[in-house]
Amino acid sequence: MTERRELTFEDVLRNAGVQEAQDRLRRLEPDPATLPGAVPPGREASPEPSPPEGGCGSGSCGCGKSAPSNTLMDKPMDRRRAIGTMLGALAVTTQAAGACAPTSLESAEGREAKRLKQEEFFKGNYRLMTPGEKGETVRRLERLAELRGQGDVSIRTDEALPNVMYGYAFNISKCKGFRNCVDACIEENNLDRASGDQYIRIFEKPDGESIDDLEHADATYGHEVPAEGHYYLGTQCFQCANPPCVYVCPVQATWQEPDGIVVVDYDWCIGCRYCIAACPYWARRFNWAEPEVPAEDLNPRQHYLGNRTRKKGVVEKCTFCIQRSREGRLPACAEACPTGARVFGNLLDPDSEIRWVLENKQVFRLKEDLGTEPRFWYFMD
Amino acid sequence: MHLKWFVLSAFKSATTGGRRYHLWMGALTFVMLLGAYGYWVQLREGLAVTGMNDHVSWGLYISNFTFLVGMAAAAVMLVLPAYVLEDVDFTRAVLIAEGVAVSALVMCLAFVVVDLGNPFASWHLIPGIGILNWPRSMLAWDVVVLNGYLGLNLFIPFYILYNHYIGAKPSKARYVPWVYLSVFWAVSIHLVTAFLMAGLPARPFWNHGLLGPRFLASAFTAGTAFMILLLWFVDKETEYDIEAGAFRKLAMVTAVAAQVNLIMLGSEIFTEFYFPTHHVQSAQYLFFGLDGYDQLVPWIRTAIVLNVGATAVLMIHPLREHRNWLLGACMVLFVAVWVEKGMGLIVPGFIPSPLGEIVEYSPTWVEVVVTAGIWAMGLFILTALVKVALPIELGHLRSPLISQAASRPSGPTKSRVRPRL
Amino acid sequence: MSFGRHAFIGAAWVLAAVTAVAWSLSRPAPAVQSELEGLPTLAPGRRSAASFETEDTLPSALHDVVAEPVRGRWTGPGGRPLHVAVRSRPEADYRYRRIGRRTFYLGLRLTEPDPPDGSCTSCHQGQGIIDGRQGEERDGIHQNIQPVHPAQTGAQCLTCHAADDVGRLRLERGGSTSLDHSYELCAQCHFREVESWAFGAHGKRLVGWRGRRVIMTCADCHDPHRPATEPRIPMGGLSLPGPLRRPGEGGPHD
Repeated sequence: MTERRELTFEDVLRNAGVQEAQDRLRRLEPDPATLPGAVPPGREASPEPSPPEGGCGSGSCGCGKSAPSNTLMDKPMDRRRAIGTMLGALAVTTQAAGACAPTSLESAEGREAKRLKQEEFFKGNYRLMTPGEKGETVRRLERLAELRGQGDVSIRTDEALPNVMYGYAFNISKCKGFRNCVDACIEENNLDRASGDQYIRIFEKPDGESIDDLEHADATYGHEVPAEGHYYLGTQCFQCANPPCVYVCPVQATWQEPDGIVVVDYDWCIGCRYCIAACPYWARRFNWAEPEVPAEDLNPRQHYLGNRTRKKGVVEKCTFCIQRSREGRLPACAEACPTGARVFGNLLDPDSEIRWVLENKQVFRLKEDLGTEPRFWYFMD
Repeated sequence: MHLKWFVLSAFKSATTGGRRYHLWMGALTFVMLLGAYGYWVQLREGLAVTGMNDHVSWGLYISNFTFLVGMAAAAVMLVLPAYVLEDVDFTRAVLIAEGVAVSALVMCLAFVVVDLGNPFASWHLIPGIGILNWPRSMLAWDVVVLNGYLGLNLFIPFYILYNHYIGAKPSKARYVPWVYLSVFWAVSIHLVTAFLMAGLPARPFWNHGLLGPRFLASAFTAGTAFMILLLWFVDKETEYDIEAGAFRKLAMVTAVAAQVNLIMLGSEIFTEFYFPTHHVQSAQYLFFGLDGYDQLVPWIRTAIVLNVGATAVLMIHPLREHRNWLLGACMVLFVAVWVEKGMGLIVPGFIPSPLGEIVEYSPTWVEVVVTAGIWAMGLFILTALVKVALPIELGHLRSPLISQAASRPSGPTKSRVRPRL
Repeated sequence: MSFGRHAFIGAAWVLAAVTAVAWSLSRPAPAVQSELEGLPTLAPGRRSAASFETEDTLPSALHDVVAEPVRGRWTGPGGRPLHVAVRSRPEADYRYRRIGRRTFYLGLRLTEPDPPDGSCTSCHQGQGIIDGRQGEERDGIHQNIQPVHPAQTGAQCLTCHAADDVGRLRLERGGSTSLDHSYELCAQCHFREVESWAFGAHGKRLVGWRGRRVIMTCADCHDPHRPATEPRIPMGGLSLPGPLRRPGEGGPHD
C-alpha cells in the first residue's frame, strides 16, 4: 500500500471539489430570489445597466416596477420637508461637488440616482418612520443598489420578534483562536475590505491572566493556534442593556431595539464619533473612507439596520446579524465557529441553551463594574 | 435707517486700513484658502485622510475645540468686572474680550463641523426638523450652550456698539440682565464641554470629578493670557488706550488661575501615581510612555516645564508688573496650556483603547492645514470685529443720520467722518 | 430701535429656545431595556415554554438537513426535543455553510472517516473480511487512523466497534448504536460533556437559534481515534491598524 498522508482540510476541499460543494449548497440553500422582498427572478445583475428605452417611467424595463411617481414636488409637504426643500438647493449643489457620483450625469439613470439620493437625504430617523415610509426608503435604497449594478440586493425591515431578547455566551475553553468568526462576520456584514474592518476581535491571552485584564492580550497573532500556554477570548458588541453609546448620541441615531440589539441608522448618523468614545468595549467602528466590498463578495441579503451598504462618515457595529437573527438563524459568527464556542439564543425563553448556560455554568462579563449590563457572557467548560 | 448705516460703516471700517492691516488680512485669507482646500480633500476622501482611526477617534480637531471653548469662556474675566462690578479699568477692554469670545466660538463650531464624518446631515441636530437628544446627550447640551453663548456675545456688544454708533446711551436695564446670564453661561460652556468627556465610563483618564474644574482653571489661565497679549497690542498700535489697571488685574487673574491649574495638575499626578492601577494607563502613557509607545512624552513634559516656569514668573510681583516679563510669560502659558489641554488631554484618553490595544496618533497634513485655516478664520473675524469696534468706541465712527435728528444726544462729532485707525 | 423692539426680539429668542427645548424633550427617548435583574421568564399571556417553539420559522436550509431524534434520555433544556444531524447521508453535507457569498467549513475535525462514505460493511462482515476481498489492495485504507484515544484509554478496536458489525458502535449495556448516534457510546465515559452537549453548552447547533434544534454529533467534531483539536493557522490576519490580509491571500487555510 502506498504511503498515504492524512487528509487535511485542503484535501477535503480538493477531493470534494469546492465547486462541487458550492453546487451542493446551492441545491440545499434556497434561491435568494425566492425570499420575500427580493428582486423577481429573471432580472440579471449586470455591471453596466443600460438605461431602459423610453426612460424609467415607460414601463419598458424588466424590473417589473413602475418608476416611482412621487417626485419631490408631488410629495405632501410638512414642516420638515418644507424647510428641507429650502435647504435642498444648497445641499444638492454641494453634494454634486462632493463625493457622490451618479453613474452618468447625462443619462436618465444618473438623474434618477441623483433624485433618489436627494429624497434619501431628507428622510427622517428610521425609528420614527411609519411602515410606509420604511418601505419607501428601502425601495429607494434597493433601486440605488440596482443602479450601481447590484441588482440582487434585497433590504429587509424585519421588526423585532415578539418575546425575544438575544443573549450570547462565549466558551473560553472551546475557543482556540481560529478566527473563523471574524471572517464569517466580514463576509456576512459587507465590511470594508480595504481597511481590514472587523467587528470581532479574538484575543490571545497568557494562561493565568484574569479575563478582565486585556493588558497583555494580543489580537494580532498569526501563528498556529491554539498556542501553548494561552487561551482565547473574543469581543464584539455586547448589545448592553444599559448602553452608554445610546445615551450620548446627539441625534439619537443609535438606539436599542425591543429585542435588545443596539442599532444604528446609518443615514441619520452625523459622524461625530461620540459613541465610539463612550463604548467601554471598543465595539463600534467608523467608516473613515468609503467602504468597498468587491461585487462578487457582496452579501445581497441585507437589513436596513444591519449589513446594508454603508457610506463614509458614519458609524457601524455588530448587530448580532440582525438580518439573520430576526429570521431565526444564528449570527454568522456563531454559525461559522468550528468548535461550538458560541452559544446564541433567546434570553426570555427559559428552555433555551443560553439560559441553561447562564444558570448552570460559571459565567462572567467584561467590565462588570461599569454597570453597562452587557448581554454577552463568558464561561468555561 | 440707522441699522443700514451701521452695517455699511462696519463693512467699510473692516475693509479699510493701512498696509500692515491689509497684509495681515491677506495672509490670513491665504491660510484660510489653504484650509478650505484641505477640507475639500477631506470631504472628498473621507476622514481617512486624517490621522484618526477607530482607536484614537478624536484628534487635533477636538483638541483645538476643547482649548478654544476655554478661550471663549475666559471672556467672563473681563465681562464680570466691567459690567457687574463696574470697574472703570475694564470698560474699554471688555468689548475686545467679547470679540475674542465670538471669534473663539466660531472657531469651536468650525472645529466641530470639520470633525464630523457626515456634516451635511448636521441638520439632524435641529430640534423640530431633526432630533436633538437633549438632555441626555452632553454633546446636545454643548450644541445648545455654545450657540446660546455665541448669541449672548453677539447681542451685548452689538447693543452697546450700536447705541454708541447712533450716539445714544445704552440702557443698563436692557443689557445688564443678559450680562449676568452670560457670566454664568460662560462657566457653563466649559463645564459642559468637560462633562461630555468626564461622563464617559469607558475613558478612565477623563472619568473623574476634577476634569471640569481643571478645564476652568486652564481656560482662565490661557484665555486671560491671550487677552493680555491682545490688549497690549491694541494699546500699543492704536489710539485705543487700555488702562494700566486692567493689565494689572488681568495679570493677577492669570497668575492665580495658573497656580490653581498647577495645583490641580499636582493633585492628578499624585492620585494617579501614588498607587498606580490599571485605570491610570493613559496617564502612564502620557507622562512616561507605555510599552515603548512614548510619542507624547516630550510634548507634555515641555508643556509642564513651560507652565511651571511661566507661573513662577507671574507669581513674582515685580516681574508681573514688568511688561516684557508679563508678555513673555503670557505667551509661554498660552502655548503650554494649548499643548496640555489639547493633545495632552484628548489623545491620551484613547490610549490604550478600552480593550488594551495601543495605537498612537499623529495628525496628517490635512488636519494641520484645516486647523491652521480655522485659526486664521478666527483671527480674521477677531481683527474685523476689533476694527469695527474701536472707531465706534473712540468716537470716530458715528451714524450719518445723527445730525438730522435734533432731539438725539450728540456724540463727540456730528459730521460724517471717515473711520480711521 | 426702541426698547419695545429689543424686548420683542429678546422674548422671541427666549420663546424659540424654550420651544426647541420642549420639542426635543417631547421626542421619544431611546428605548433602553431595563437591567437584567432576574431574567423575566414568560411574557404575560404565554402559558408554557413550549409555546416559544410552536413553529419552525427557519428557512428551508434546515429542512434539508437530515436529522434524527436523539436517542436515550437526552433532551434539550426543559425537556425540549433534540435532533442530531445524520452524517451517513452524503447529500446532507451540513458541514459546509454559505455565509455571505463564501463557503465556510464548520467541521472541527480535519480528518474524514475512512472510507469516506462510512460503509464499513463494503469490506467487513462481522469480524472478518468479506469473501473475495481479503488482501485486496485499497489505497491507504485505515492509514489515517492513529489510535491515540485507544492508546490513552487502553481500548481495543472491539471495545467500541460492535463485533457483529464493525460499522456500528458497541454499548456497554448491551446492543449497539449507529455511527450517527455516537454520543450514546461517548456518554459512557464522557457523560458530563454529553450532558452539556444536550443542553447546549457544548457542541454545535446548525443554522438557527429557534425552531427544530439540530446539533452535530460527537464524531462530527472529534475524530474518535484522535479526538483532540488539531492546531491550525488562524483565518484572516491582523496588524494594527493596517489592512487585514484578505482571507485567501497568503494563508494556507482559506
